[in-house]
This record gives sequence, structure tokens and C-alpha cells, in this order.
Amino acid sequence: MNKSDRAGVARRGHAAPSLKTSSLSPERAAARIVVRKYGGQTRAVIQILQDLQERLRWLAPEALEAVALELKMPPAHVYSVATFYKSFSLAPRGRHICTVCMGTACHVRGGATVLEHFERKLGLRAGETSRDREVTLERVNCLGACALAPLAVIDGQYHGQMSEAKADKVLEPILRAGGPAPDAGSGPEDGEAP
Amino acid sequence: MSCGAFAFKDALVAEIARRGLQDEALVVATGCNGFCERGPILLVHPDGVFYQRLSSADVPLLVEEHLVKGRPVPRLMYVPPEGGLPVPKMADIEFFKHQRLIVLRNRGRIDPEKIEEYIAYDGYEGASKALGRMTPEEIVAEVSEAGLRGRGGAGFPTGRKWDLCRREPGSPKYLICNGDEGDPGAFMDRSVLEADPHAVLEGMIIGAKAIGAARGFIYIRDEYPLAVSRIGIALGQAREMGLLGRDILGTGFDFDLEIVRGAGAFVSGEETALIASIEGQRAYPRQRPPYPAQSGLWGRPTVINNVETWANVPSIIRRGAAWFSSLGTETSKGTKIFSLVGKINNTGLVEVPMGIRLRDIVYAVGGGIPQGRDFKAVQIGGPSGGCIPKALLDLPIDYESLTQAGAMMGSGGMIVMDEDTCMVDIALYFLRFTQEESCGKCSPCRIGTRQMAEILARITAGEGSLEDLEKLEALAATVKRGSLCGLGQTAPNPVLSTLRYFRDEYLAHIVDRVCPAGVCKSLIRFTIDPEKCVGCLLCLKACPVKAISGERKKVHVIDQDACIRCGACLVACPAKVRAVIKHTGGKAGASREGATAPKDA
Amino acid sequence: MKLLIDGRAVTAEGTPTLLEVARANGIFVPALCEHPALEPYAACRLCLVEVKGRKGFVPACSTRAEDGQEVMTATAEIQALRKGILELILAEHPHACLICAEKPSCDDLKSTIRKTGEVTGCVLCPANGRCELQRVVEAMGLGLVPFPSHRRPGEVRRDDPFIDRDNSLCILCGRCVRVCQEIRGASVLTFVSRGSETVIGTALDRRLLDSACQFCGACVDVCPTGSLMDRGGRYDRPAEAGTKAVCALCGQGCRLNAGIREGRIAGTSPDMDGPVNRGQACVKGRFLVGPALSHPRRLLKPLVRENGSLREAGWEEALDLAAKRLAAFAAGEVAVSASAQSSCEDLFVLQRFAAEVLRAPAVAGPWTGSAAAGLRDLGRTAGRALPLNFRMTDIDHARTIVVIGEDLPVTQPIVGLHVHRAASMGAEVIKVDAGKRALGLVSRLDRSKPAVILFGPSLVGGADGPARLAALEAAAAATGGRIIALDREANVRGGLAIAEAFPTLPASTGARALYLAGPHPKLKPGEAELVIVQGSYGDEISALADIVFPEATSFEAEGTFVNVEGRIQVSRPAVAPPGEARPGWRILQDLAGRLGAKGFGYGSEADVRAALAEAAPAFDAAALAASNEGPAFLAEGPAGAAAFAGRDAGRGRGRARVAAPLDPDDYKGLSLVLENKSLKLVRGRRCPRS
Repeated sequence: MNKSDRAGVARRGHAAPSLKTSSLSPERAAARIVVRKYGGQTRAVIQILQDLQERLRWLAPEALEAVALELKMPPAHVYSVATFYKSFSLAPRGRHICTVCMGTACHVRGGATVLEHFERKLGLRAGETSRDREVTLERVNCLGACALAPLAVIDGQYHGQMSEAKADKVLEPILRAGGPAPDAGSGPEDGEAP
Repeated sequence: MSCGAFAFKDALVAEIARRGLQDEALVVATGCNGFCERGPILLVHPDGVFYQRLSSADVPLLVEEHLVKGRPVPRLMYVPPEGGLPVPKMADIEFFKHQRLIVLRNRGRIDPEKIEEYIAYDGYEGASKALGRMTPEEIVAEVSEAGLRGRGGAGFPTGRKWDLCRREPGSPKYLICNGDEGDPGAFMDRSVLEADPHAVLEGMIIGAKAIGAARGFIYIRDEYPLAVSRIGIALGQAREMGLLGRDILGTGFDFDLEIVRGAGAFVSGEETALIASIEGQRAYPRQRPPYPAQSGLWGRPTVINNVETWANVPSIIRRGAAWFSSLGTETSKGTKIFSLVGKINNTGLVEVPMGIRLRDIVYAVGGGIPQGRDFKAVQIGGPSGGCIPKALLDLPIDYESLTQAGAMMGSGGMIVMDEDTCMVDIALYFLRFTQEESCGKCSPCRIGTRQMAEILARITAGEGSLEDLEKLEALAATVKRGSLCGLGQTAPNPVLSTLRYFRDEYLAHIVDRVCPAGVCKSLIRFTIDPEKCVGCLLCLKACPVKAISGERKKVHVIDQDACIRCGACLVACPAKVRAVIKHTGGKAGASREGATAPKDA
Repeated sequence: MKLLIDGRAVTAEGTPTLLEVARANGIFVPALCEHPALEPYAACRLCLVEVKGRKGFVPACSTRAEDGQEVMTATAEIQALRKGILELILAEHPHACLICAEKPSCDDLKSTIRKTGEVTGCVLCPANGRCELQRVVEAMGLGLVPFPSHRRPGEVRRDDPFIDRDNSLCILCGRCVRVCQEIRGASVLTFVSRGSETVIGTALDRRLLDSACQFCGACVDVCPTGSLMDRGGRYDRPAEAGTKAVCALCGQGCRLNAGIREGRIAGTSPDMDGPVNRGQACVKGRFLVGPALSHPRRLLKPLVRENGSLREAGWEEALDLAAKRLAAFAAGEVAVSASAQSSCEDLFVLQRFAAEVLRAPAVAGPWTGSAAAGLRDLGRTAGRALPLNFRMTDIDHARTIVVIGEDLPVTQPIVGLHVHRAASMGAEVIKVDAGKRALGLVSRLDRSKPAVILFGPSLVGGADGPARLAALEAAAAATGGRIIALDREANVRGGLAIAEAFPTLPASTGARALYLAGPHPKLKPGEAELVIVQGSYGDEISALADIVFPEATSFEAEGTFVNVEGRIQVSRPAVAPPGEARPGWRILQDLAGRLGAKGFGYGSEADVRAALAEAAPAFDAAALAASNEGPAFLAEGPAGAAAFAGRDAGRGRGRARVAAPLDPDDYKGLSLVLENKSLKLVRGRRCPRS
């Protein structure tokens, strides 16, 4: 590299000048960074999607397309992988994420009832996000913390020995702070508005 | 960890510092101790005193009494569920007494994020011996003679698998650690990965030398972020010490590992599906033969073993096949880790020698059923497994005896069930799980498990017929024999096993429209005994759907149409009143006087 | 090897699967996800059989036959298992007809009920009668499904040209996904979601038009049910008869199965045994043959100009008039143009007619500026014979492939499939425009890897064409590989070889009359004193003609075509020519007779071929091709070269100007891409192709 080239690089001031992400959409820019992190390997597509979801919170169509472009992979393949694995959210997720464990130990200790209660309180079914994008309710097949059965995880915090009373307590701050208004036909009760 | 251990540790460290005892008392954060029911747990060495169910509030007393004055604190010690004196030493506690720790040998004594501590307890000696002084054939022979069998479920002889792969010509070859512990109720692998990651690494280094692999992958499910982190740290430290990478320990052997995360698919625990996942594909299983030992990852010879299997290897190489095979039964050598969960007093992880009786696990190690309820069954092997009823409690735990009884060793999840568990509901639970996790590739599993789940759902809703049982059995045969992979082939097991041992329960649901255990919502009913009700309003306030009406000091009534059968009223009604009655059979079914709440209070 | 199937001793060679051995011996084993062109998938599980010594059941489609095996395909247990699996498959596939009490009388009543939107049973399904699932159900005698039905959700997708998609009929055999990925390299259709929610779809559920789909129809061809259907034919009755024809819409030479109904082509699909295409085709051969043949612009009757406008005439009148008017011109005064989409028979007789009857200097044909001609000329200049012939399968083994200036899925679809196969086996594929970059790139090729350089006519034009080509050839040779010329029309190689058999007469003054049996640049009125057009479609040029002869297309006459490989294939007529159209060589023969020429009395195409083989030794194998006894190629090398030595077929003057290279979707003057709305949609997309 000759002197003027070096000067050019210095002037631009980027750490990795070849990434050229400034003119790209946020999804494409993020995809480029992540794909680069995994050396552009097509076999790492699952890890790439996971990484990207961590950055973007969920995988919009633009994000999936961006990965296909950056990896030079058919978009159908990316989409096929993204829809197979449950870790990926292809719909927007809420600010708060409530996960109820449905493992056997939790089930035997009343996990199904806990989930029903969450569904009622939040006015959502498992897998849904409230319209105002405040809360997402998810269920997961066993987190491996069976001593705490039945278990719910709220925004990363583990809450063991979950009961209806306990659920009301942990959900209160979420519901209070402008949480979801119940959707029509989602639960038998009304008047649970914040 | 999930019970607040970090907070306790911080408080303890702070208090010790405040008292100026840093040089006398070292606080080491170790991995899971196994006795999860009793966490947070503190073990004081060298006394071997065991404290449990601690909170930060206990710290000042503990430090003052035990560390400063040398007087252990009985109040914070373990007391057996049946009552009696506190048991100060861990080694005397029933939960620990019957265990033999091989895989979990470092439990409670090392910090998993410090490789030096692993090394201090003979860590990497096995790898050093294997790389420096053994040939691949010798390593394989040692593992074969030890009789180690795959701990992930099928129990295939590990030595034989390694030998098949070793014989395959050419390179590259790959090693895979299957950490996609998907069986609900099983968390042994999580514990090993988090608490003793180097045991897995060391095992894989030895295996790599045995088959001639230069690269390996550790596949960890997405739901275990701490395990991913701990393995990551362990890999970094191992590389720094020259235990991974090029020219390991100066022996000229190259081997390195990388982590691959799962993405929420139970089926990726199946070995060919796991391989597909590493290749960046949908986790679709592939027809075998060819087996991975011949043609696996990217078509290359591959050995894939479970976490627990790998973690056994260093001890076998270090201490020899004879030592390992002295434990266990004729066909099942060594130990097995079980996660003991469900209706059991001592929930936790236990490592016991093969051949131990199920009764001893449940009652001696497990401490029996809480609240004096009756043991009903143990579900072993997760969605691929089956139930062992009371009559078979003396069954010795080994691969063959479990299979004969209609269950399966599986990964080692043991869900204990009592009289309040409905076996039909359990079968439905597992079928729903399998149906949700079915990859969808082959017709028998994709469609058959759905049809089976629907029949079971109808039975639990009181809409089943005797013909349904015939259909279930026919479907079970089709799914079992027609499916492409182990997930489908074993999916009918929970149904077949519950039909075998608890057929009367199915008949009760179908013929009598009764759920004897009082679980199936369509078949149970709650009423308030007007003669006992004192009108305290407690149940009324507890009801989440406001189905109870009544005033203070007047009899309360439950609106049967609004009631969702959650049982909150039963819990709320004071013990000395007991006015809420749970009926196990719809309108005409029998009632269960004095039935407790559906979960532990 | 020897093995036992159901107690019967059978033999097998090579490495067949148990399914292949069973079929070869007439033993029925149902299999719905298996397809001979695809890798085994083992998902439908219907082909499960028992092998002695092996636990459980093994899928016959993916189990290799071994010497000494004992296989059972129809024990009571297997039958029960198979029935159970089939019942499950039907639980998710509309099967109302199976259990309908009206079935026996349905035939009398059903008439047009196939046109309902939703399929609930066979009778309403477009695939009724050609469904593989139906055949399996009938073979197994299933009459009842003891489970509740579930309908796979989703609307019928009708928002694409050519192909309709109905998910409710899908049995998730995966053939479409696999063919699109393994063979076509397009990866448009894929599995979406998981378990019972699985459906076949595109990325983000887009239209095929908005994905990289080339509409080749391979997915429709492999679909065992009516889930993927040719929308043009879905409401038609099945064809009455079928025949094979060699497609002449481009230079690959695919063999097609043509369905015939009421004397017209009902539809075409690729022939699994077609030596060039092996069961694959492209959008034109798959969907546009019928529409092309019946396009409104077809010339159906001879036309003569009277009082300033064209009117229909009988053949006698038209031929007499043409002969009379042509007789008035001297040698060199009539220019003749030919089409590279005409058969060898047509071209040979035309060349003879031009040389002997009209005494025209040369026949202007598109092969003059073709890639093949460029390569041939390069060989002559360099003094060594450069092979023009190749086999598609040669491409599979290349380690590097350079594609210059050709959009393979559009211009060379079958070549494109072989390029994809090579790429799947690790070859590096470089695509580049026909410009300076091509040369630079090619000079940097890795010499240790045999390279195949594919180029088209765009590379050879201009003054520096020959030099460019020479550089490419040298680069390929340096790697131990070769360079392959790819032209677009059906018979460039044939036309080029035939032209070589005719000497070029010395130039003379400009032409006064035109005999246009091929493309010609835009004609100005009054440009020539006489214009005779021999063609299949009317256009601006035929509108200005004095006499128009309607010509049969290749699907309506027997004709020999030489594809890009140099492979000689004889195509039999699928249907009779419409109206009064006639094969080109017959028209010329009649005309020649009227002009008093001798030796134009061919009785049949075979006679023409015999004469051709005598005149042009390159066509020695033409008879062989006709008898279908083995692959027949144009002869190259010394024998062929000697016949050409001393002939200069390139640069005659005074001939009709040749039009610029035609668009790849042109067929005898009909621009399929402009005239067919569906193809226009397909070609006109901006989205990136795979």
C-alpha cells in the first residue's frame, strides 16, 4: 500500500474500513458485521441469526434478506432455517418477556395452571405479543431448573415455586407501567386495565 | 444459582472482609452441588459441615458462630424430612451417602472458572497420559474394557463406537459433544457443563487422540446461557495452557474445539439432526446406516457422545478400566447421574452406581414423597421413556432392566409422581411435547403423534371411547415401527407404558368419566360444603375468575360454569375449615375428601 | 449380485437400491418421496421392507442391495404398517372421494366440477387420474381412513404465471424442494416451519415471480399429487395421446413428451430419457410450445400480393407465381436468407436451391457470426482442429468454469444445470461479461485446475473478436481444459456444417430480389423488386412481401437438429401443421421443380438426410440418429475438415444482410417474450437471480 493509500485509510478513521456499513440499512449493516464475525461461513447461519436477533431483538424480513445477501445464500434457505428453530422470533417482541417453563417437573407441579394464569393476566396466549409491544408471553420446554418448579422467567429473572399469587406480584410492575390492555375476547374478566 | 446464591455469596464475602477474616476463610463459588431443593448451599471445609436454605440474613450469625467461634450452627443445617436431629456433615446426609461421584467428583469443591483448581484435583492427568503414553488402540481398549456406554439415552458401547470411527481411513474426522439436553426434567448435562467444564474438554481431548480427530464441536442448547459461558471460559483457559490447539503438551497432537449453540429444537439432540444443525441446516434426522462413525459431519467419520459420557472418560483413563467396571452391574458399568425431580423431597442431581434399586433412589437418596403422599410412579427417560410403577420399585437401575420394564434410561431424568398425578395426563403431556418437537420430515411421526395426542386429549376431556384405546395401540405400533429417527420411534413409549401399568386409570376416564388423581380439568369439579363454610371470603378473593359468590359470614357458592378448575379456592380455604371439596368425576363422580392443592404449598 | 426378494431369486448389477431392484423385477413397493433423479430422502416411509438380519424395517429407497440379502416386501406385518402409514398420510390429504357412496355413479355426473376452488376429493382435483398417491391407494385397496382429517392451511396460490400451488394437497414428500435445490440450483421452494406446521413455501412467502424461480416446471413434474400444477393445463381433460419431440426453441436439444388432444398439443413435459436433458426442461419447452404453435400470428395459407395488398391463394397459384417471377432474375441477383432454427432437411434443400436454382452467391445465415463459427475459424487460422463437439456431462468434471456473457438459465438452461452440478461438487464458477474484464480474469486462472470456458456469440463480434477468442482458448488450454462455443438457436451447428458443403460463388452486383427463409433486418418498401417470404409467423417483413409461403414449425414436421453439443437428433412430428402450412424443404422442392431443376425429387426426409450425408461427411451419423440406436454427433477432425478445406464460407458479398443476433426468446420471428404475457412477466423481473 503506498503512502497516499495509507493516508486515505487514516482519514476515513474506521477500525475496519472494508465493512462500509454507513450507507446501509440498520439490518444490512448489522448483518454484515455479524457475518464478518463468523468469517462469512455459510454453515454458521444459525449462529449468525442468533447473534443478529440479540442485536435487533427480533428478525424482520429485512434482517433475513440481509443475511442471505451477506452470506450469498439463497433467501429460501435462510427463511427455512429461521422458521424451523423456535429460538428465532420473526415477529416483533415486547419490551418485557415472560417465559413460563413447561418441563415435566414444572408440569407435575402445576405448570399448566401457571401458564393459564399468565395468559389471563396478560390477555395474551403463549407466543403472542401485546399490541403495544410491551409484553411478550412465551413458553419453553424445560429450562433445566427443575428444583424451582413451577418456574417462570420475567425479563431474565428466574422466579421459582410460581403460584397465582406470586404471578400477580411479579406481573404487577409490568402491568402497572402501561402494560397491555386486554385484547377483545382474550380473557373472561375485564377491568384489569392499568 | 437461580435461588439467589450469588447474592448470598456477595454478602458472605463482604462480612468476612468486614471481620478481617480474609486470610483465614476463602470463599469459593463452586458449581451445582446437586441438592437443588436446599439451595443456597454452603460447605465449610475442612470440617465438611453442610449448611442449606441460606439467605443473606444468615450471614452475620454464620460468620460469628462458625468461622470466628468455631461453633457450627445447627439451625442452618439439614434436618431429614421425617424429623429428628440436624445432620452436620454432608457425608452423613442420606442424599449424599448413597452417591458415588465420578462425573460429579468435583462437585462443591472447585470454581469452574479456574482451570488451576481443576488441575489441582488430578485434572488433565488422563489427557496427559493418553496423549503422551498411549496409542489410539490402547485408549479405545481401555474405554471398551471399562464398559462405558453412551449416557445420552441409547446406551451404545462407547468403546465400540470409537473403534468403528478409528478404523475409518482418511481425514478429517470430527468429535461432537451432544449438550442439547432437551428431555424436560433433565438437567444433568447442564450441571456438568456449568460446574466442571474441563471434565468434558479433557474427555474430548482423549477421544480425539483415540479416533484421530483434529477438530471438535460442543453443541449446547440455547436455553443454557451459563453453560455456554463457562465452556467458553474453559476453552480459553485450556488454550492458554497449551491443552488445546497445536502440539498439545508438546506431544505433537493438534486438537481444538468450538462451541455451537442450539436454537430451540428438541430434535437436534438426535445425533444426525445435530449434525445437520452444525452444518447450518434444519435439524432433520437422516436415515442410518450410514452411521456417523462412518459418515457424519460433512460426510466425514464422526464420533458424537453425550456430555456425561465425555465427562466419564478422564477418570477411566486415569484410574483404569478395572476400577470403573468394578462399579455397576454386569452389563451397565459405572455410575449414572439422574435428575430427581417432581413429587420428591430431595429434588436434585444424584450420581449413583448402576444397579442401585429404584426404591433406594426414591426413598433413601430422594427422601421420599412430600407431605406423606403415596408414591405412584417414576417416569424415566423423558418423552422417550416410560413409567415404573410401585410394584417395580425394587428394579435395579440399568439399561436392560429399564428397557424390559417398558421405560428407558434416557438421559437420566427421573420424574417422581404421586397419587395426585394423573397418568393419562402425563401421557398427553409427553405426546404434546413430541408433537411440538417433531421435525415433521417423516409421515408416521408428524401425523401419528398428532393423532395420538388428540385421542388422549379427548380421553382427558371425558370424551374417549374404548375404541380409542385400540386406536392408540395401533397408532403406537405404526409410529414406533415406521418413524425415521429415535424421536418418533420412542414417542409412543409414554403411552404404551402408562397403558401397561395404569390401564385402569384410562378406563376410569373413558368408562366412568372420572379422573382418579383429580387432575383432568374437564372431569373435576370444586364445590363448597355449605355445612362447613364459615363465610370468610378467602376463597372468593383467591378466585382468579370471580366464580365464587357470597358475603361475609354467609355460605359461598362456586358458579360451575365460570369455574376454571384452577384449585386456588382449595388452597385458600383455611386448614381447619376445609369447606372446599374437589370431586374427581364431573357431576356424578366420587369426591376426594381432604385432597391437598395441586402443587406444593 | 444375487439376492432373494419375497422368496424369489433375482440378480442385480452395480449399486442399486432395494427399491430399484424390486421395480426391475416387477415387485410393487410404494414410494412417494423417492424420485430416480434425486437423492433418497426416506421420509414418506411407505417403502419400508424387511431385511433378514436387520432389526426392524428399512426404507427400500435408501438401502443398497447386497449380495445374499433376503428381503421381504409384503409380509402381513409390513402390509399392516404400510396401511397404517397411508392412513396417516390421507388424514392430512383431502380424500372425501375415498369414502363417498356416490363413487360408482360419479363419472356420469361430474363434468366440470374440477373447476371448484377447493379440493375435497379426487374428483375435484386437477391431478385426478395422474396422481401417484391415488395409484398407491388403489394398489393397496384402502377404503377408509379411521382418523379425523386435518386440512393443511393456506389459500391456493394463483398469483404466479404458469404454476399454481395448493398446499392442501401437499404430502410433504420434499421432491420439489430437492429438485429445485439439487438439480436446478435455484433453491426457490423450501420447507417452512416445523412439525405439523410444516408447509412448502418460498422465502418470506413471496410469489415465485419475486423469488429466483425460472419457471422451469421441474417442481410440477416431480410433484406426486396435484399440489403443484401447470395452471394452463389444470382444468383440461388428460391428453388422448402422447409423442416425443425434440424442442427447437433453443440450442439445447431437449426431448419433450407432447400430449396431444384433438390434433393439437395439449402440453409438454420433459422426457426422463432425453439424452441431453434427462427429464429437465426450461420455461419455454415446458409451457410455451403449445402457445407458440397456436399463436394468432401463425401463417396458415399462402399469400400473394394483388393490387397492393396480400390475399390468400392456393399452393398451386402461389408456387406458379413465385416460379414465374424468380425465373426473371439472373445468377447473383437473388439473395437468400436462412434461419438457424430450421431443420437440417430444410436447410440442405434451401442451400441446394440457392446454389443450383437461384445461383445465389451464398445463403446468409446467423451461423456466420456465431460462436461456433468463431471457434472453427480460430482453429483454421491456428492450423489445428479445435473441437466444437462436447458433452454436457463434460462440464460436470470441470474444476473451474468461466461463463462469459451468457445468462445460462435463459439462453442455455441445460448447460446451466451441469454448471450447477459441477459447483455442488466444489468447482469454482466465475460469471463475467464479454468485455475486457473477461480476458484479464481468464489469464489469472489456476493452471492446476482444468477449466471450461463457456462463451456465446457476443464474444466473437467486432474486429478484435478473433484475437479475444484466441486468448481465451490459450488460457483454457493452459489449465488442461477447453473452451466451448454456445449458440442460442436450435440448429446453428447444423446450419454451419451444411453451409460448408456449398461453395461461395464470386461476388456480383447487388441483389434485386429476396428469398427470405430466415431473419432479415428491417425491410424498406421498394427495397427489392421481389420479396418472397417462407416462414411460420407473419410480421412487418411478411407484410411487405409479394408472396408468402406458410411453413410448418419443427413440432409439425420431421426434422433433424444439431444441438450445441454437436449431437444430431431427429424429431418426429407431434401434430400436423395447421392450415395449409408445409415443411420448408417440400415448398422448395416444389418450387425447384417448377423452375425446371433436376434432382429435387426427395420422397421423404430420410431421402434428404441420405443426400445430406453424401454432400457433407460431417453428417455421416445422421442415419444413426434417425434410428435412435445410439448417440450421433457431427463428425469432426480430419474427415470433416478435409471436406471443408479450401472452402471459404465466410465472407461473400452481395448477399442479404444478416440481422443482429436474435433475442433468446425468439422463435422464427415470434418474440415469445413480447408476445406471451406470462413469459414477459418472467423475463422482465428486476430481482436478482440465483
